[in-house]
Amino acid sequence: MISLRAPRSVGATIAALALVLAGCREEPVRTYRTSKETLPPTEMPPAPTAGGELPAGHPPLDGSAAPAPNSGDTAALPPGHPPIGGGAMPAPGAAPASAPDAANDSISWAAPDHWVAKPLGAMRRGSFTAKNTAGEADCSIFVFPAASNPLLANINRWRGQVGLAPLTEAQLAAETTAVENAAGLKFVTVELLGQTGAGSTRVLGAILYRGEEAWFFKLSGPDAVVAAEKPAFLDFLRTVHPANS
Amino acid sequence: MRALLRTLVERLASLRITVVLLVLAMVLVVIATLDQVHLGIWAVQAKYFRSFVVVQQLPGTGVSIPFFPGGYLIGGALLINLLCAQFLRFTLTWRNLGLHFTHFGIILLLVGELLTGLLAVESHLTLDTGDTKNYAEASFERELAVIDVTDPAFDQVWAVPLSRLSRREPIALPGCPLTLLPLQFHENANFFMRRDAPNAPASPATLGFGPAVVVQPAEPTYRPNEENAPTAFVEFRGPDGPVGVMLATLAIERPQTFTAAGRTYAVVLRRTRIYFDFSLSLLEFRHDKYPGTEIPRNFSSRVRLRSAEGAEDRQVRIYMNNPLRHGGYTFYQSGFKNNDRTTILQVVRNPGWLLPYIACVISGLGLLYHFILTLAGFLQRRRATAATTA
Repeated sequence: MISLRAPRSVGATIAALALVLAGCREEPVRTYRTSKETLPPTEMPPAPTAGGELPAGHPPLDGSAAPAPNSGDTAALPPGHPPIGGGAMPAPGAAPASAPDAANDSISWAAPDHWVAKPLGAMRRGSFTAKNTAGEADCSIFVFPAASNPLLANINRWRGQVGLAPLTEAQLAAETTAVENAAGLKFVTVELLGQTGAGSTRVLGAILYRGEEAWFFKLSGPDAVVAAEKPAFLDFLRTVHPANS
Repeated sequence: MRALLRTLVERLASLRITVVLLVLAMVLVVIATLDQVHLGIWAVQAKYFRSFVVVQQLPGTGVSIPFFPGGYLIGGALLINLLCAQFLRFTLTWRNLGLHFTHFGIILLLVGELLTGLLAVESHLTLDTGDTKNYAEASFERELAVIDVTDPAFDQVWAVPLSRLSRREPIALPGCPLTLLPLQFHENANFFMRRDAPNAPASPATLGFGPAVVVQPAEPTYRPNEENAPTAFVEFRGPDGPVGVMLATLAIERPQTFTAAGRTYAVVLRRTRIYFDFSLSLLEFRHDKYPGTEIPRNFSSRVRLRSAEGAEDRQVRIYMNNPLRHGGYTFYQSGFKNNDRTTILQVVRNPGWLLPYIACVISGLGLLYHFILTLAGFLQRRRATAATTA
């Protein structure tokens, strides 16, 4: 008959080995020499903020790259940076989003006639100023890897930008609306009204998950302006279609 | 001395140890399976099975203690146990040849898994059309690269593994006048522009873009399609004292530079790079569909392979089930993006990849031999019994 009581020496050996091996886990610093890469810049642009220094291609962080107050988002982030506040990163193997190249985007759109196109900046795939008698609002279009941009995190990111509390997964369905356009593209839309430093701010947002891509359409600005632009924004979403169709 | 060695081998060959180890292995599997809810499959694999000791942090403290033998320790002990048993009870006869083969197959299987766990490296190579790279990026490992970019001819790189950043201990860079002192480390974090969070506490960073960014530590994610943004504040110290503090994060994978002791350094937290002695250029990526449909028929990458010394320069087509094997690496067509302009190749290096196949064949042959031998004996006995009865 086999006794299940292990010899004392076995337990002691395993414990000793465990302790020894636990202390031997320090990974060394690897040192090697490589050919010069074009990416690492040796000279940086002067920092716009105290002590700050930005990587090459990084737009200024002082808001000069942001087209309108509270547009927030990723306009001031370097290429490959996920939306701030999202917390998620692209999955392994996912390369950072490249610089804007709207001509090669997988979807196209037609902006309302009274919206004025603006320079795209570092990350935007579309950028417009929506003007009406009440003032101006900013419309931005971004694309990021869908895998690293879950819906809830991004809706909550937008909510945070207008001072609203984050939603839970259970509350999400009640606070969002699904919209499908004639091209068969399905958007999740949200309308948010909150307070920011610029006063009462309204955000109309739409997120389109398409294959590996997550497209973010956002109209934000003073409450009265955005409220008046809501029909135009919804019409705008109806014009979005696959680029090759 | 000989007697002592024999006693030791006898102890190690004990069936009690086998049973204890098998029980430990079963408990390990149960604990690891339960913890998979929190950690996900990859982290569990690393923590429980591909480790010698399972280390657990005591809740509410920063203290980690080893609390259970890991897969390598149990597997290694089983291997020693099996080897000692074989050594002690080894008698070569035709009758037990099959059992020897079977045991040898199991030993090979254990060794194969150990080699795979220790030596196999999985990485990705992402290439835009026209791009050339001589390195892949590890799927799971990250590093803080400190690069001396002063010399116009080459870059000198010190790659610090993230495990070193999680301890607040000075890190010396061999041959470099700088020393690193990690001040903070977060497995995952969210980021805000300081202008969006004016009331946030001041950043410890004094170099690079760190002062303009607010870091908010976040819970690590273990979802298979998400990735953490490991983030650290690291102080650089030169021969004349502190140089400054830099924020390094995978979320902003862009080099930041500073000058110290007359040399210029670039710092970036990135996916661990695995360099080859050859380069691959993507000439064309094809995403063929069946005519008139959106159903994919084939994904393929036409690449140009060039060895560093120029001895080899050829074109290769990589497609599903037709990987490129070169220099000990296997390149599989794994994915694509960017409107079919970018290919993603999975790069695997596993020196022990053949061992499990060989082990299974040897064990299978051993079992088959033993079965045939037993069957023959049984049939012989039955015939003898029948003859006696008749």
